Amino acid sequence: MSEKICPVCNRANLPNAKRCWYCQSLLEDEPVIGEPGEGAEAVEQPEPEKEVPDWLARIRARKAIESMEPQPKEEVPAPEKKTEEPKPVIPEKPASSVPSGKTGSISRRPGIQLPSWITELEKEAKPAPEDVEPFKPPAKKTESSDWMKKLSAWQAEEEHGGQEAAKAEPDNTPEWLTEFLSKENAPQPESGLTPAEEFNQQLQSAEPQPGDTEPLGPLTEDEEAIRPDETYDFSQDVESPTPKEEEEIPPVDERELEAGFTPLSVELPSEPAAKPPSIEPQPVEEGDIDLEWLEEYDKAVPKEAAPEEPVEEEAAAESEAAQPQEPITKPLTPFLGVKKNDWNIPFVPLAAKAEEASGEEETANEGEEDALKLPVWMEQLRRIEMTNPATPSTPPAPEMVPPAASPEPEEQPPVEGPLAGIQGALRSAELPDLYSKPPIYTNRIQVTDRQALRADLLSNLLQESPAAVHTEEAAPKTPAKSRLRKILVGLLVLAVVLLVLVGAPGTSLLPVLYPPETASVYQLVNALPADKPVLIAADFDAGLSGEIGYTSQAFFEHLMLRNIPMATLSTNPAGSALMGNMLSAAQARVSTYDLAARTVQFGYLAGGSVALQSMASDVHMALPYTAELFPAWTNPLLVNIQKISDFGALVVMTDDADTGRYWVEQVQPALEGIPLIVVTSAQSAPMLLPYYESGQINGVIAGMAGGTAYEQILQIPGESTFYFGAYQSLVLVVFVLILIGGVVALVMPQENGHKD
Amino acid sequence: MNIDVIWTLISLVLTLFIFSYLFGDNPVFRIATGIFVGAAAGYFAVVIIYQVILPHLVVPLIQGSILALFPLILSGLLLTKLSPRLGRLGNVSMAVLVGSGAAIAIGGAALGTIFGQVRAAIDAFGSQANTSGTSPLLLGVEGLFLLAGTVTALAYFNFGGKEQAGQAPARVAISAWLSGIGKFFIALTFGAIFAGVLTAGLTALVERADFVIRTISTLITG
Repeated sequence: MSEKICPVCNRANLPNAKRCWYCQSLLEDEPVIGEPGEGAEAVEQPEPEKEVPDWLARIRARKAIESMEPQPKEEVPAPEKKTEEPKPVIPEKPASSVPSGKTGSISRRPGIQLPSWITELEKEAKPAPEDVEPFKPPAKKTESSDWMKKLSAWQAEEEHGGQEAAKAEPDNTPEWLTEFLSKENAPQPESGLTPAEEFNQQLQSAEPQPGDTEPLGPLTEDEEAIRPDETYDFSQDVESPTPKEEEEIPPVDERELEAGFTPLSVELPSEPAAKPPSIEPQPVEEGDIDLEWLEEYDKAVPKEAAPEEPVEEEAAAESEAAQPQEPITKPLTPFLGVKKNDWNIPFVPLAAKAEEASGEEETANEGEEDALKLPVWMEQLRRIEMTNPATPSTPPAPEMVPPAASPEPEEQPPVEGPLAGIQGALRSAELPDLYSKPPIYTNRIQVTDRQALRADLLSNLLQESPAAVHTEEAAPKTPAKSRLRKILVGLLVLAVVLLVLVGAPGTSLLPVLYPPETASVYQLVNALPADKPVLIAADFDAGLSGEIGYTSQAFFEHLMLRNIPMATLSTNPAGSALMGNMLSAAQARVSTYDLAARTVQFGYLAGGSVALQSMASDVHMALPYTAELFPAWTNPLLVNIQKISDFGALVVMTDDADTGRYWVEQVQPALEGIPLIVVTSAQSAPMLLPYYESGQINGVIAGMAGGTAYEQILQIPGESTFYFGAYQSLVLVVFVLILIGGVVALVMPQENGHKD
Repeated sequence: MNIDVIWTLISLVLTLFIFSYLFGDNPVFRIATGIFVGAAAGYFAVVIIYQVILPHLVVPLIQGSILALFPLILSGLLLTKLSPRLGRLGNVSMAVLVGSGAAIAIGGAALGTIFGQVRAAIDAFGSQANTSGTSPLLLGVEGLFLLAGTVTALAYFNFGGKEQAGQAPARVAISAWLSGIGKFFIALTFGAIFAGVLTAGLTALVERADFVIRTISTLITG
């Protein structure tokens, strides 16, 4: 079977189609595929297999078989030939068994001459009436009466309106309709029941089979529109079973079919869209059609439901679609696959189209129609594009287009704003409606008494602020006096220090009374067991290492004199190196102490208070290695240390009160009674002494005074004692300077109303 | 020239650079502070690599410790803080650091400082104080003084007041009286801290002045 290719959309159409099923363009002048230059006789020539897709090949094969089927009334196959026929696809009912059914069989067009090979196939394909088994409709058909009703309704409408037109129409019946009509003409088994009763009985007895699939109804417009693009051959599911099922299909039982397609349940659709647009009346000969059932149906169906015009005229009226007042209610899916070039044709006014629609039949036959009829919405869209070329030419989706031509005049695009020039933009509301006179509010603030009082407080604060700001800004502007004063004070302090250190070194007034916290340290060191190492933790900066050195020197000497082993760690990166220098200095004065053998350096313990907590919980985990990355706890000095309370004492050397407090808070509860000694700077001593008073710290050596006191207790004068005179001199000078400054500040008037 | 002499001379020069701040901010002082900050940062980096990362991360990983993966992951996430785009990944590490640090700090402050100091204030009147051999009367006076200082210092930091119509909110009479005494104790504390800071600075000055004199005398005398 050949096809016609539309010159506009390049899509295949039925060979007998006059218009393109997709774009409604004329197909008269188009050559037929496969037989260029040949006449109408070449219509029956098969196409080369290379160019035919699979689904199309099956359809063509089926149509070829159908075309080979003989006229039921004219030809009766011989019995002996039926036995040779392996499997008729759709057995034909013999002419003698044709009942007075409602449908008539479709005869071949008289003018068409079939090829010889088809004639032979027809002869072979005719089954004998006695060999034909009664057709048993599958159970799936009983489950879907809805689609069957539609199909029968459509068929009834088709037959009712196309009785007269069928004679004049050529044999261009679609394959699915041909198959359907052939099934209706199938022989029916004799039974005592009426067809309707039999069908109802089958409906009750039928059960769904596990392997059954849902039956498909007749193709709608949407499906027809997308069928050429689909690779899936759903027509096979609809019209023909699988080859295996084909062998098992018995001959069609005409009674069952007739009962199944009885028009009793038919409701004619109100919209003609339920009918495929490309279907045209079948050329049915008058003698082949038994219209008895149709007459009954006409009596049962109201008059308004039946079409008043022949099918041909109705189809022509549908194809016009040039009625502006009539909204398009059916989906416009036939244009889904249309590309821009498919409808990019010269614009024809709607009025001209209406005129052309009246004489469409004649112009179509003559091939004189140049313009393509398009739906109203597409016409309007094309008109917009012609008037505004800047508009994107992509055709909008049919769902987004107004369903029918609006009688209202087109709105002009906005001339200003961000949507200026854009056609179809929604218009905003009128500006006067948007704006209104703003309400008038009073500028008087309603405040309560409390708010007023707080506002006064804030005002007072703001009044004081300018003075403070002025002070900060004025400070850099008074460098002369201040700088001179600072230089004089600095030079005085340096002169005193140099004078004491150079002129009278070692001259000092040593204290007679010792601080109790320092005396406690001496007693604790004397009480330490010689076999237990002392854990010494350093956390001080280099800037105060001189003071810490003076303070701790006598303490280290005391430990070395007692030959107590020491394990050192630092919670400050610089602490290890600074403490190493202190130990070296102390060892220089106590030469009997083997510093390398009696000390272990753990190095830097990072983590602050968290690390201290970890060390108090598990000292082995917190300090696994020495500073030289050797296993720490295999050292002979530490073999007996399992927890932090196994040390002889814990000594914390710090210049920060917070660091000392962390040690007290995190580690001291885990010491289990071993002494906690703090060697600290003078600046943090006031904050740490309360812990000594509370008993959480057992001894404190604070500053140079504490170191000198410890040397005095130890009776080994050291550097602290030597420089204590200079220290006392400086403290005296500074005390005098502070006293003078305070007196001057009291006596001298304030500059600019505030203290300078 | 001995290497120690070179380092001693460098130390002397840098010390004099620092002393130059007596005449105000100057480039010499900035050079000295810059060198100090740079050297300290480099030294800290080396110390952290050799005494933190290697013993606490690399060596356990080499030994197959699975627990070492957690600090490795958290450290990697913390490094994402360098990137503004990936910085949010480091919030996990920051949450661990801040959360654990806060928990430990709060627990330690409550158990180690608050409870410890409260107990010490109570023990000042108890039998433990009598074991020191001090006169009970003196211990009682000392205990009262400590108690008064603690209570009045805490009362000073009570900033609640009573509102009166047309006047600024003011403390109640008893609170104002206690806060006035508390101010005295707080001033004593700040004076002690200032004295400690001053003496610490003077001690450092003495140590540096001695270093300068000894170095110069060594250079002169050879």
